[in-house]
Amino acid sequence: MVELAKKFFGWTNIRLIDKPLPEPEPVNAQPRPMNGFFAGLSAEQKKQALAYRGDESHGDKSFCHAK
Amino acid sequence: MSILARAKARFENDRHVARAQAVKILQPHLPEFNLSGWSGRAREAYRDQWLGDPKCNWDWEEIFRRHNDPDRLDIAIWGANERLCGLAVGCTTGQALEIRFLEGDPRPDCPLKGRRILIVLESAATYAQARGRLELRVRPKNERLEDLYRQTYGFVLETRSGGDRYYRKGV
Repeated sequence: MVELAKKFFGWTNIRLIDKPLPEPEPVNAQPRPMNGFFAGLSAEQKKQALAYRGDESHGDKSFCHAK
Repeated sequence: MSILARAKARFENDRHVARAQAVKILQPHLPEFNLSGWSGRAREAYRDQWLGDPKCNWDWEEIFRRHNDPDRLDIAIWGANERLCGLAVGCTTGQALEIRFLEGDPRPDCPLKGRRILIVLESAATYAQARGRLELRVRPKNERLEDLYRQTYGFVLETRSGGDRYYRKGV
């Protein structure tokens, strides 16, 4: 296809990029049972989650305070 | 009532239910805490209690100003005595709810240190289910957090074309 485009349009620097398609937005998503998150963890995962004391912050660094 | 007003009222109700359910489920396992949205009370506590601390990372007023989708999930985590223990915001995207920002109280003696992620995940999962979304997404910023999400919480790494990386878990 690139060769074809070059032939017809004289373009020498064509790159076809595999741009990811946007995800479909559910227009009428139905509510599901609200089981939450904790109930789906195993006993060991619950123990580890409750014992964690490390760093928690995350986010886009462009919203950091200027220091 | 317009369609938009009805939708906003439904989102607000879902947020309220999600926060209330998270408190109910996790309260037996954690020190005393409560949840609200990003309100005037939360803004005031953020300014009084967090701003000025050198460990306070994020500009939350700007974050909430820029992430103002009507169906965002805003969370303020409160400890005893009106202590602001954490802030978070999540946005719906496609089939998922993505937790965009999360920060704990920068003061070192916070009674909920380490447990604020769990509180946010519980609220976010409940809200995602109420909104008919199928998964949670996070973008942890360091290896320790990646390990936590992968090993403790069972998230899996997803890499989309273009190099976009995030962790996901079905809810």
